[in-house]
Amino acid sequence: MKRGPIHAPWIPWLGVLTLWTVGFSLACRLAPGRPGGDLAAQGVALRLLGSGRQAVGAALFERADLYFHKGVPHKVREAFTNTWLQQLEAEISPRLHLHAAGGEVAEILPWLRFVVAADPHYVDAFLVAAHFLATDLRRLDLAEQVLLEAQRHNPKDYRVLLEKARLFLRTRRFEQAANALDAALRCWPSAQDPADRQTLLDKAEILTYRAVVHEMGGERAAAAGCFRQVLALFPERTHLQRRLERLEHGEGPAGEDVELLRSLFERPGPVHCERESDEHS
Amino acid sequence: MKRVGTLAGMVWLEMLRRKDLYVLLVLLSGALGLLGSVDLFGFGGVTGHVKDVGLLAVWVLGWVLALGTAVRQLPEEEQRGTIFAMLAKPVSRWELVLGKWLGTWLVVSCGLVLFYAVLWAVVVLRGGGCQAVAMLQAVWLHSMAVAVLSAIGLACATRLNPDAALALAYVLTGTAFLIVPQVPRLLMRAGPAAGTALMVLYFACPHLELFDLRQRLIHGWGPARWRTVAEVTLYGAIFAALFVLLAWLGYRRKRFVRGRLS
Repeated sequence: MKRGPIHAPWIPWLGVLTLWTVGFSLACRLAPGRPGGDLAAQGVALRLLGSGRQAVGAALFERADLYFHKGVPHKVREAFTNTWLQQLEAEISPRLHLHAAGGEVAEILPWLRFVVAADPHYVDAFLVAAHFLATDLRRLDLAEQVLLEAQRHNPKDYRVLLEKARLFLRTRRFEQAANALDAALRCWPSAQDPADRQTLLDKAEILTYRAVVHEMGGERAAAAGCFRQVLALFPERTHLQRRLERLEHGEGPAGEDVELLRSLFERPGPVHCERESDEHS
Repeated sequence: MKRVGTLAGMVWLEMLRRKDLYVLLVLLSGALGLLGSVDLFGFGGVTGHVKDVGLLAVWVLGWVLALGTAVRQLPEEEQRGTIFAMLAKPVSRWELVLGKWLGTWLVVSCGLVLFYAVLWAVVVLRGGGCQAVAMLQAVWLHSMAVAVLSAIGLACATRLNPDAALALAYVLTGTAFLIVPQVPRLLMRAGPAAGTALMVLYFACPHLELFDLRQRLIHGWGPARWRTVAEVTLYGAIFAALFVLLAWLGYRRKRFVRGRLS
């Protein structure tokens, strides 16, 4: 018996239903309510990409992380190791845990540029770019430009303002740092979860910097107020208690406090290695 | 051996007549030029991303060129009917298969050298550089990968029509590129039956990642040990020989009938 092609009327509807389900699932996964929504994207390509650009941005940020580790991917558990094929592969593609340093970190910048081109609300990419430009690459002017661009796209994100404050502190522009820190405090926690540990750590950092700037301006009471807020967040920071007592007694900074100040100004910022459990070489 | 050389030369002539290689070269140059012009927060002299995307493009183009060239060699001779004239020369089928493979390998390797030269030129123009020894090793090992890919393409084309052979060759080599290196990780979640299948795949398929020195070139790890390069070369030679042998086994008793060719 000869069979013709299938012409069931439900097939197109099944296709539509499947596409709708996939689209709805992706929308749930990809659109956690970014400011301005997808229409805020500039350029036809980015608008067409829609919320998928967040996924693209995240993938490109992973790529930047790979460059920070000199092309060595994350360690994953394997069923067997050390076969002669794996030994040969390790010789061809090294698996040491190293970090890019100095001028090498410049190689990360293109990927961060691609991240923010795909998703201008990916604040971490701006922060990492600004950090490397300000530290390893010693281009504070470019770091400031990056942060201005970040602020243009994310005007109410406290993390950008905190990074700006760090930059101003490094360049000893204390008045601008104070303004940035005050703005950061007003914006905190932005879109972050206020109960998240990192968000709380950030707030403590803002307050600590602000206290230091107050202290440098001779405003001891305001400085003490900031330190009290930090202690309320993290009571285990007993060194701040001692510092607070000295401030209340009208004493100047002790040797350890000077060291604290110095460490604050030279603090590396938000960049950290998520693979610290791996062996470093 | 002279007849094998003549057959390889014919593959060269055919490639020079066709426009595939030139089109791919223009495409690569355009893409790399575009990539090199991206503004990087105002910071210049960075070439890692150009190398990265460029080397990926070179690998993809090399893959496409090797399989496309290898797969059409024997079926085209059959479709044109020139296979009868060739086999009547006398050229043995073993010489025919070997000549076609050798020609494909050499011509695609030559194309690879051009691709790498374009990439190197773009990188140098952008103010970057590559370690010469590492680059030489990368080109050589890539060429060994092409030897394996060409042999696989040729083996697929002995018993299938060109389209089917190309599809099968892409599936086989795509598996070797993408799945085989992941087998130790995939085994962590695989059941007993899937685990056995994955182990067979792991040891039976060629490990094409062994020929890939991109990480060393992009991230400045420097050249690999020469002993390692020699071992990988031997590994590639064994796999290429195996697939050429397979191609010959598939072709040696194939019957051709005028007017009913693949």
